[in-house]
Amino acid sequence: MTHPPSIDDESLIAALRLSGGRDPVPAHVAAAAQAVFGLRLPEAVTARSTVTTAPAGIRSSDETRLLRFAAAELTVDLEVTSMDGLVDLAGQVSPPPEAGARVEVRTLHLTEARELSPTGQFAVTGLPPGWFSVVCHRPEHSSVATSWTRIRL
Amino acid sequence: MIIDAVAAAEHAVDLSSRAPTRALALARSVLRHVSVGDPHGEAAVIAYRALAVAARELGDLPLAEEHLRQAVSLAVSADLPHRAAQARLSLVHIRTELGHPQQALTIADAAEPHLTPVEVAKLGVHRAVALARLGRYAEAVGHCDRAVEALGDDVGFLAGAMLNRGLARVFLGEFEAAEADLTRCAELARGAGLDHVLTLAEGNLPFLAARRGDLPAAFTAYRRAESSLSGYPERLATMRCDLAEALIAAHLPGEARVLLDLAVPELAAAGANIALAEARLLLAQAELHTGDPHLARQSAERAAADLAAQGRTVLAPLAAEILLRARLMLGPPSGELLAELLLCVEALDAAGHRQVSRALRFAAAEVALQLGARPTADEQLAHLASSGPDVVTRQATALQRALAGDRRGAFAAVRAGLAEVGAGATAFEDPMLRAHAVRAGEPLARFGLALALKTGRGRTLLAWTERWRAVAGGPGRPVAPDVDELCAALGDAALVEFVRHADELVAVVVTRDRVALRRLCPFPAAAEATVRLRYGLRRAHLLDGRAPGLAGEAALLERLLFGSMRGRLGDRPLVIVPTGALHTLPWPILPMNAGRPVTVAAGAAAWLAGRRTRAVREGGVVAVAGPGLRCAEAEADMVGSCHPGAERVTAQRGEVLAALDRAGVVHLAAHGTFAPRSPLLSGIDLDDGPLMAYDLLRLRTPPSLVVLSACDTGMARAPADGAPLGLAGTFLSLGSQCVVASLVPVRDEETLTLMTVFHGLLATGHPPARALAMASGKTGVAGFVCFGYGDQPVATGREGSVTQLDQDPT
Repeated sequence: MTHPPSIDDESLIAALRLSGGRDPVPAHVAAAAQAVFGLRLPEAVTARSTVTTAPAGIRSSDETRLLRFAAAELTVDLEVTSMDGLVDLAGQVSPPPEAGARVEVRTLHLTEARELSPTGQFAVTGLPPGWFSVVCHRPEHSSVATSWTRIRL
Repeated sequence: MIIDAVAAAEHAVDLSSRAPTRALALARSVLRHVSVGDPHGEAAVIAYRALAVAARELGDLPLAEEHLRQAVSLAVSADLPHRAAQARLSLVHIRTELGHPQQALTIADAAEPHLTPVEVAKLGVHRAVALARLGRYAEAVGHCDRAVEALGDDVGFLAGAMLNRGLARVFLGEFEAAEADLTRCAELARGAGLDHVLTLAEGNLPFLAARRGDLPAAFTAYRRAESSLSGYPERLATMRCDLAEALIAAHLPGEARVLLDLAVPELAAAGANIALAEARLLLAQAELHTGDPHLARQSAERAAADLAAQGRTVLAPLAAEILLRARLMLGPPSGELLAELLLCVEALDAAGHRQVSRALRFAAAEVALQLGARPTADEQLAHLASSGPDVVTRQATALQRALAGDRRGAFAAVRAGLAEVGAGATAFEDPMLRAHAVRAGEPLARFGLALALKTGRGRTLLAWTERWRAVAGGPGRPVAPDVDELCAALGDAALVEFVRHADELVAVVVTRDRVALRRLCPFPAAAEATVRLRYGLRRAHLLDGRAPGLAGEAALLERLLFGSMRGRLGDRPLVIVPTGALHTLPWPILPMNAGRPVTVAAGAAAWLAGRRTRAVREGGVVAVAGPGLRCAEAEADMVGSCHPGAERVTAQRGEVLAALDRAGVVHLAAHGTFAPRSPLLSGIDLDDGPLMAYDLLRLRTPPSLVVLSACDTGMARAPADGAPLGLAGTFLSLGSQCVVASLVPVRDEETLTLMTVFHGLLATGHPPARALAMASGKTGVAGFVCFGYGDQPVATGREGSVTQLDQDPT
């Protein structure tokens, strides 16, 4: 990008009118703000990205795309693969949470919910590349959400 | 002094499109030495114009406009009408790109009276851009025609005129004339050292190629253009949009989306509103085709608003089309929606988007059928069936006949359409492009499958899925194998061919005496279970201490994929023909397959073809040890000691390729890589670089058996069923009978253990599929799969092994 787009006079005047309460906030601005606000999970514990060690002793010179997110009592491991420009996400919550736990893979525009296997595994296929977060909802404990992460192809 | 400053400023203008950064420096130094209003004002006007053109080249359209406005107002206040008109001349182009093509034409009219004849010709070149953006292509060509006559030897503008005329002609569908213009533009630019114009011309040749349907040229040149345009973000973004358009045409919307996600913010930052509107239109298409109707609707709405504001009525119906298709995906159809569809069809026709309008008309007919509006459906189908001919004509004819109860006639129309698609695709030598080119026939193939499924007959479904596989990856003709030959060839084995129809997974099970159809789980469930299983297997092999429970996942997948047919299959050897994501499943890991010979084939016909090539191959065994692995040398030595007379070949690309052309069996122990975006770039590491699937396309007589003892070498991406692309698939499509390769990362030492047992069994006459099953059972090492035809024992040089070749493998 060469430079951030500068604000022109018309936009500046519009912004002043808005902040002075003279004009209503345009519907799409409010909707976008609400959508972003709706992505918050105030009660969830955030699992933050941690480093994974590079695998050794395998017959591949490839870097696998493994991501690990850790919270105090829970780790979420993810593997990102892509096909035809879409993303497949596979992962595991460990230790496996209690029965009835489920994960949601959230992108900015859609949310896919999956039951966890007894070993804490899940997968979602065909996601668009971009921002995502995985939330693990547990019946007896607080939810754990990974920090928002961007998948690029 | 005055003369000097003016001359320096003129020189900056000359430089501005060729060497924008140098032009900026020169123009700035001119401006430092003159002040506004003094007698040097004329030089300042020219210098601002130079700054503007340079800024435009560097991708800052708003800044370019600002400089030109400054130039115009200086010129007007200094009473220099000619200089003002020159600045306006440049402004025509900038206002167009900023999204005001109509206004740009008004500016051109204001400038024209004050310009010299040559400058009027230059103005014509800029007008052509505005006219083309408004969809007035014929007028654009006219302006360029007149400009070419008047421009004389101004190579820069002559090249520009050729470029703009060529592009307008692409849109008019006059491909040959367009190619001549673009080629001439490239020649002129090359001769004059106008590298930048040269890149644009060369970048537009593939745009032309893509519009014509010639994708290989499009891909190659866009990749080249990407590097040469790295300093020009806005031009690069425009180029990415062109490539994205080609990718959408090649049915690769996901890849297109990735490029557009990069291009859209760049164009927005540059203020390139005219290109931005088109980019958003393409993005909406890509989003729609990747199953994201919500986003597609948003992007299409923004594109529609931009196009309307820019007065671009020719493109507006394309945005409307996407909006309607998004609505079709998001909710149930209604009479109101049908009416809108039909209106949009008319608008598309009127604007000259014939292909899009035909496809939408077919969609409208389908909606009419859903709503029970049979007369409307009949009318639209009759319209489509009587015009063409193209894939949509065949679709419409097939649907018409099916509605009339003429299933045989419907099948005939599908077959005829598939034959046309297949014939068109055989022009591509590159298997990847061929596989993508046939995707135009996917709607027809789907229709054929749907009709076949309705019959409930396994034989019919097998025939139709095989016809499509033959078009996509085989002979290019919709031919189905002889079922009786297949049944006889299977002997005690069973073939399970998986077929995906929309979200449903179906299997055809073929045994010696029966062809049965089985409806299985929803396809996404199988795909996700496959991803989970692969994840578990990968983690187990990477030994990161958190290997999840594989057994549960494998058992679940087995239930989903084989359910009720498990009992029927007993312990027969299996031939599996996967579909979609199932191409990435390591089949032997399913519990029912423990100890069972399993072979994975691209189709029943492909398996039969592998079986037919049972002739004894001349040439012995070759082993190669790639670099950077502890156990590779030991493994190659082991292969040598298992098969007397085996040859060791150094891990050099040339030597390995030569060995692949002369040996009967080749074992490669090395690092492997799968490239999901371009599966033919998947490779095996050798000492002097990777041996890629593309390199293999040169082989004339590939080995009968190839063992790829490396990670991920069996992985494939199948853009269309029947054409799995990757290393194993490439060997098989070239004529190898069998490939043993891995679908996951494999551990160095464990692989040596597995391969030692495997080669020992091969050497004693066991065919590869059985040897692999036994070796996996004995060592507990999973991940490898036998592809192709795995029942042929191998001539390994050991006494007695050749007599094994004469045995019937069943």
